[in-house]
Amino acid sequence: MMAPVPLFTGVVSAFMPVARILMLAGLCLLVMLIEGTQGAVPLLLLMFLAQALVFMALWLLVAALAARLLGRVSPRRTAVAVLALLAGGAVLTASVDLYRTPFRAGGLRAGLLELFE
Amino acid sequence: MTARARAALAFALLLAAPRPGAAAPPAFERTEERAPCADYAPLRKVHFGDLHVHTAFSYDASALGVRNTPRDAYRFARGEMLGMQPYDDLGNPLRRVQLRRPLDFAAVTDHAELLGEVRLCGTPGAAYGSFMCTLNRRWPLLAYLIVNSAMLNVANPTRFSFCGPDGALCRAAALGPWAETQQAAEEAYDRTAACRFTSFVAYEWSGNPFGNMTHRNVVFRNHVVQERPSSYIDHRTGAALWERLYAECLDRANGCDVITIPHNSNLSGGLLFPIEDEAGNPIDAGRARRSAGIERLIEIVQHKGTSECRVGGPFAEDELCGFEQLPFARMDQYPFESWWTEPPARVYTREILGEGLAQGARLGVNPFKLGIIGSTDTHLGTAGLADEDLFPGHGAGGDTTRSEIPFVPDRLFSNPGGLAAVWAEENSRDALFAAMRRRETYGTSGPRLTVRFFGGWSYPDDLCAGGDVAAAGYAGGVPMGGDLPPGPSGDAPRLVVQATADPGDGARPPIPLGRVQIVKIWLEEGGPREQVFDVAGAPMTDAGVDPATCELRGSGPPTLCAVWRDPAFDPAAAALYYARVLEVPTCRWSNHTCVAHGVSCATPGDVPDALAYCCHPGIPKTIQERAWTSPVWYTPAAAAGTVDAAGGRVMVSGHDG
Repeated sequence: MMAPVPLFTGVVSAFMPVARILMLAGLCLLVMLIEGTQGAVPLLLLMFLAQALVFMALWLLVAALAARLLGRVSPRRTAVAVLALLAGGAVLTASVDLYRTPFRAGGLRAGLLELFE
Repeated sequence: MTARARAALAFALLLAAPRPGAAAPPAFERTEERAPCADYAPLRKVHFGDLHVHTAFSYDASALGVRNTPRDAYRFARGEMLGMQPYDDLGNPLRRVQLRRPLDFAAVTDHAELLGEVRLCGTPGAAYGSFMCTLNRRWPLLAYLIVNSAMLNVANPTRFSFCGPDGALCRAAALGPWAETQQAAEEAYDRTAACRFTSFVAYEWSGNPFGNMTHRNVVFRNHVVQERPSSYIDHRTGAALWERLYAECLDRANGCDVITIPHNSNLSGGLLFPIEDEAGNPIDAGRARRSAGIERLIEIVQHKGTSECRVGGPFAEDELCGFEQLPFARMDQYPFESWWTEPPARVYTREILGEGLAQGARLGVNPFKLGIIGSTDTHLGTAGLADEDLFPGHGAGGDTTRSEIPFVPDRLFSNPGGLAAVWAEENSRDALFAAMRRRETYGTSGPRLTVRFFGGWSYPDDLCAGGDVAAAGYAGGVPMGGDLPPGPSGDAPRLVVQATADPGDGARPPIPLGRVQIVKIWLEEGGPREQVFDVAGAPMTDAGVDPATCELRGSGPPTLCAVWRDPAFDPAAAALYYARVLEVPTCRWSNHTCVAHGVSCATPGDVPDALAYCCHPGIPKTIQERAWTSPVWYTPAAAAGTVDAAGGRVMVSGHDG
């Protein structure tokens, strides 16, 4: 969920985790609840949700394939590999500005720690 | 000597100065207290300015990180250096820009829509913590996409809930930035006899039904203005805007005077100049007279493209119509090429002017009798920054440089916009505004070309060979924007056009002229026709530009002049004529970027992705900068009794149209 995926809106291009896209969808939903459904807000919401669902499905597929591959090795080694992967991913996303999200006020590029500021 | 004494002396000298009697056109009316200008020119001189400038007071600009205010925009217009986004953590701008030559005049035209909302969301108070204001501060681009679509691209916009019942809080909050806009204009206005700079109090009414731009800039003559700007949220049609302006300005007889200047007719879906009223009935003479009295000019070129003529239109061999033209009909189509559609009828200036002739013949009043200007529509406060080689982008429509200096400063289909050129006796509000009202204006795509254009019946063929074109032009006819007086039977009108190249500045040499054309639009069998005539210069000259370096090569004429007689004049048919003046080719802004980055298409692997366009044959490397004059109109004598109102003097509430 924290690995960056492309976001297509036509107007801007972005590279952000699915969780971030879901957050943007949630903001659109709040706007609709508070201010009504006028304009393209429902379309934006649908666009965010559709892309989030597609990328979640893709990651699910990747995870299933990885699990199948790891099933051939011992559980102990699997646990180590998964933990190492998660730790490496966390260090990488936190230390490198992997994400490109023009939707932030604070900057175009961000690492994991600044992403949801 | 005190300023007052200097002003008195200047005024005395002015009164004592000899004036060319019959050659000089009537002087303008003074409505304000100020020193007359020391360099008053009875035969008028050209002034360059920008009448379309946005600052941080506009919602779209603020959402994209712009911090420059109207005061900053006027400083920039007067020649000072201006910082612009992105900003570092200490608030220092990471880019600075400056005009090579100051402007003579400018108008800050922030969007009337959301003026109060921007202020409330940026000021700690009741609305500051609301969800929409928080969204705006923390996720500004998302907020922009939402607000733009939900508030403005709809037929019936409503205000946010934080504006309170009936939007009262936001309406009240709009008074603050409106007062600051007026104050900034007053501070920038040079009321001394030096007359270095003129500012106009103005705003933009941004009607956008279903994404079709029916935007109009509202420019006031002097400091007497509306109590609050009229917005699309409250007044949803052009006609409703005009009625508000009549009620709150023109009809008040308090010195208030105002014109509206529509723009981006290319993106209007044909709704900018309707020929039916809101009930679906053809517009009547009263409606036509109301609009003709207030809508005097059209902005033919700006950041979002030119609006002169249709590529492949009724005069398909006019290959110059494609200049900086957008390939889609509405801004919301641009993300995907498959969405692009052909613009409908009445979106290009020629079509609108032609429709005006047809409506004038039907109603006796031409509702679309429009002079021409250009401007930038910058959203960065960078008034008049229309130079191709200085272009920092104009920051409109979702582009964000809030956080990072972009490789390419703007979208490839955008351009730096143009300038408004106004022929006036002096650089003061009254003189410039009177010129705009009589349409003695032209637009350029950026360069400061000087263009005189007159219509009459008896100009000698050799006028250009040493004659005083200005004196003879005024004495023997009417300047651009005017109506030809009745002519001798059996004769055809003569048009005089005199163009002088932009003299350049310290950093750039003069750019030679290419050719001069006259465009004729006339009524035939009830419908408008158009034709373009080359009258001076040549389509191909020795001069040009090396696209690899953007260096000018060859030479060309600095001045072109011609007296042209309409060879197919029909005295029974309404007609108009305008001049188009072309420079020799120079580099487009996008190619300047390629050259600045040293892009070599011989090694495509070394070209950054953002600059891949540099090697794409579909992106033009050069352009022909140009100027378009306001037309001179001809009305047949048989219709002149009624159409005179359309042409010459529409009296509206005491305001001489």
